Parts: sequence; structure tokens; C-alpha cells
Amino acid sequence: MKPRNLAWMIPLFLVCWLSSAVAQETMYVTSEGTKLKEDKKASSKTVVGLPLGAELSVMEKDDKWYRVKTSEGQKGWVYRGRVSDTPPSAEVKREGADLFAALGGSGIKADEADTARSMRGLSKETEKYASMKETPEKYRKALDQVLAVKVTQQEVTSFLRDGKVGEYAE
Amino acid sequence: MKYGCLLIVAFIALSAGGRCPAAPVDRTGTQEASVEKSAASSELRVAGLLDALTKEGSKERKLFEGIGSLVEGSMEIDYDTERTIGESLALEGFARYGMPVDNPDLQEYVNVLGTALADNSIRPGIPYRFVVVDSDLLNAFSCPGGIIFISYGLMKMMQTEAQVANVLAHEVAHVSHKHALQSIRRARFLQGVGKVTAAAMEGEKGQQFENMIGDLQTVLFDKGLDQRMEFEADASAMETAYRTGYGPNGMIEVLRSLKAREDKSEKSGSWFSTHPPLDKRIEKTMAELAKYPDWKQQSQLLDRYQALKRKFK
Repeated sequence: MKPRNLAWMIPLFLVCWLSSAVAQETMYVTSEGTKLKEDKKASSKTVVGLPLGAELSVMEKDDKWYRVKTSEGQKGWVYRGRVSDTPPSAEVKREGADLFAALGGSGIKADEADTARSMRGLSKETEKYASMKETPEKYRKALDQVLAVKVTQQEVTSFLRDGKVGEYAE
Repeated sequence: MKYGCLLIVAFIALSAGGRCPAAPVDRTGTQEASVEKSAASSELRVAGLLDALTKEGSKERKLFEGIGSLVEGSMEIDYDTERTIGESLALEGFARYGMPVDNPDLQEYVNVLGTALADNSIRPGIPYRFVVVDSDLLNAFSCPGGIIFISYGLMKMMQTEAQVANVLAHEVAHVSHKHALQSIRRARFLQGVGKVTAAAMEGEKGQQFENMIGDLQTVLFDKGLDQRMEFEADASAMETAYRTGYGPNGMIEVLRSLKAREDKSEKSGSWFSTHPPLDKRIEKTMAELAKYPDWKQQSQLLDRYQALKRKFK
């Protein structure tokens, strides 16, 4: 084939190349406690806390970190383990929204929140079941103690940081 | 409620009968006659079906009652109800497997690690709680709603934090996939009930609730969940561990450790009796590991877990 016969293909190549460069991959926040970071390391400043299901445009991928833009136009880096190309289900988003609200709706406040994941004691219905079954008091107390455990976002972050796990790896 | 379902099914049957499969595109006299004949025959079939449906104990009636149960049973159970079922089962868990181990550091460890994993699971927005119970049996199980039990024996067997992470993530996966709830979807208590209230547990309903918790105990403590659910939880656990930063190889290592102890361990009420054959699970998880080519760069944390183990009694 003569070179001039290939000339018509040049604009086609250009169109393909430009469209692939412009097309941005969309990903969704699928982890609780996800934060948009200024730089691609967990110790950098938090731009904003991201709720479950938040849609992100991926601009760049660098090993385990993705540079993204939120639908509000905020840019930053997010750890790969906290996003997915599939959005969470409506039920999961709803449950996450409840927790996100309890945390104050921001990644920064979440670090300080001590109300995280708090849980009431045995429900009235469980008490009713325990009465019907004449469950010994020691089992009710044991369950009450298990339910009373509180885990804060700060504890989770410190634990992962101390172990250099995931986004805290050096 | 069942009659409501029968009516819906009858309506669907009638609608289907109306759309005669032999309906013509080209309306010739012969075809019209054929359509009329076919429609009449459909009406007869539907009338026959309705007769059969109203007949107590008929094959058709049993079939449609089964479909009705399935429709009702798969109605969404709200989180409070799921939690109540889980809490009631947890009370039975202590009775069966023993009290929480008196080691605050260990209990805090499983709760913080478990929460870190749950954050990256497919259902991160509910509160999860983890408890190590004083049992030498090699076992772990999860109650609907997020209360997760791990035996002291299993904690002693494991060697690295990545192994513990994979086991906790496996149990979180059962909660997030609602596996236990699926196993009781046909329970009489849940028929027509979307929400449990203390008032709804009076009399016969109370007995039905007890029976349902009894069935759950049989599934989770003795018989085991469906094998498909176990394989799904293994794969899900490896992904959650990986997303958090732990090596998904931990799952395979735990299965191999269990395999090495299989002959000498007590089977009743342990992972050996409630989970699929270990060879099959190892084979499937090995295939799963291929999805994570950089797994060797992930954390194993042998030292941190060994330091915790030194305080075990």
C-alpha cells in the first residue's frame, strides 16, 4: 500500500488518541472512612472526607494511589483499596450515610469522633427472647459487654499506621 | 397472605393464557378459527389450574404456596430485625462455645483489626463487633447484623496478622452477603414479617422466633452454610484483606494449618464440620490468589501478632 493511501487514516488515529486521552475512568468510594489526600501518601493533608458511593473521575494512576476529581471539582489522591469501578448498592450507601452522619460528615472530624460505631445494648426484642428461653444472666452480660465496645476511626487509623498496612505502607 | 399470592399467580397465569402462543400475524379465516380454538383451550387450562389451586393439598397448590413463601421470605428484613436475630443467636453462641476470653488487649485487637477490615468490605456501614471465646475448638462464626465469634483455639493456631485478617474478613463476608439470613428465609416467623417487635414475639410468633433461632444454630454450629456461600466468603475475604493491605495468602495458610490438624481435631461444632472440604477450599483459594499478582508486597505482620500471642494463656 502506498503511503498516500494511508493518509486518510491519520485523522482517524488522532480522533482515537484524543478521545482515549480525554475519557476519564469513573470510580466509586466503596470503603468507610475514605479521605481525599493532597498528596499520594496517607500522612499528607486531608482535602475532604468522602462518603460511600461518591463518584470520582480518575485522572492518573500511580502504583497504589489514584489522582481523582470529585463531582464538586475537588482534586486529590485516594488509596486504591478504597475505591471500585462498581458503585455500592443503595442499601449499603444508606447504611453508610447513617454512619457518616454520626461521624460528622467529614474525614477530619471522623478522626476525632468518639461516637463512631457506637451500639446500644441488647434490644428489647433480644431481652424478650432471653426471658422466653430463660437465658442465664452471665450470657446476657457477656453480650452487653461485647456490644458496648467502641472502635473509633482514630483507633483504626493508628492501628494501620503502626503496622504500616495498606495506605500507610512506606 | 398466601391467598393474595395465589391470586397474583392466578392473574399471571390468566395473562399468559390471554397471550396465545399461536396468535397469528396474518388474519386469515383459518387462522382466526385456530386462534379461537386455542383461546378456548387456554381458558379451559386456566379454569383447570384455578380448580387445582383451590384444592387443598393438590400438587399445583403446594407448588404455588412454595413460590409464595419464597416471595414473602425474600422481603427485605430491616437492620434492627437482622440485629435482633443476631443478638439472640449470639446468646446461644456463648452457651455453646463459652464466655469471652479475659484478655482486654486481645479483645481490643480483634475489634480494631476487624473494624479496619469491615470498612473495606462490601457492607461497611453497619457496626461490627468481634469476640474471642474460650473454646479450644477451631472455629469462627458470624451472627446476622455483625456480631462475630472466634474461638481461642483458632487464635492460638494462627501465626500472622494477615492470617487473622483473612479469617475475620471471611466472617465479615458472611454478614455482608447475609448468608445466614438466606438460610432461614423460609422460616415461618418471617412469613409476612418485615420487622420484629417485642409485641410481635408474643404467643405462637414467639415460638416461631425460637424455632428460627434453633434452625440458625443447627446451620451455623453444626451443619454449616451452603458450600457456595463458603467459597464466596473465602473469595470476598481475600479481596477485603488485600484492599486493606494484608496478604490474601493468609486465607490459604489458615486452611493449610487446619488441614494439618484435621485428623487430630474434634470435628463436632468446629470449622471441620461446618465448612466445605479443606482440599477443595485450598484449591479454590489458590486460584483466587492469582488475581493478586503483587500479594507478596502486602503486609503479613508476623511480629505484631506474635507479640500479642505471648500474652495468651
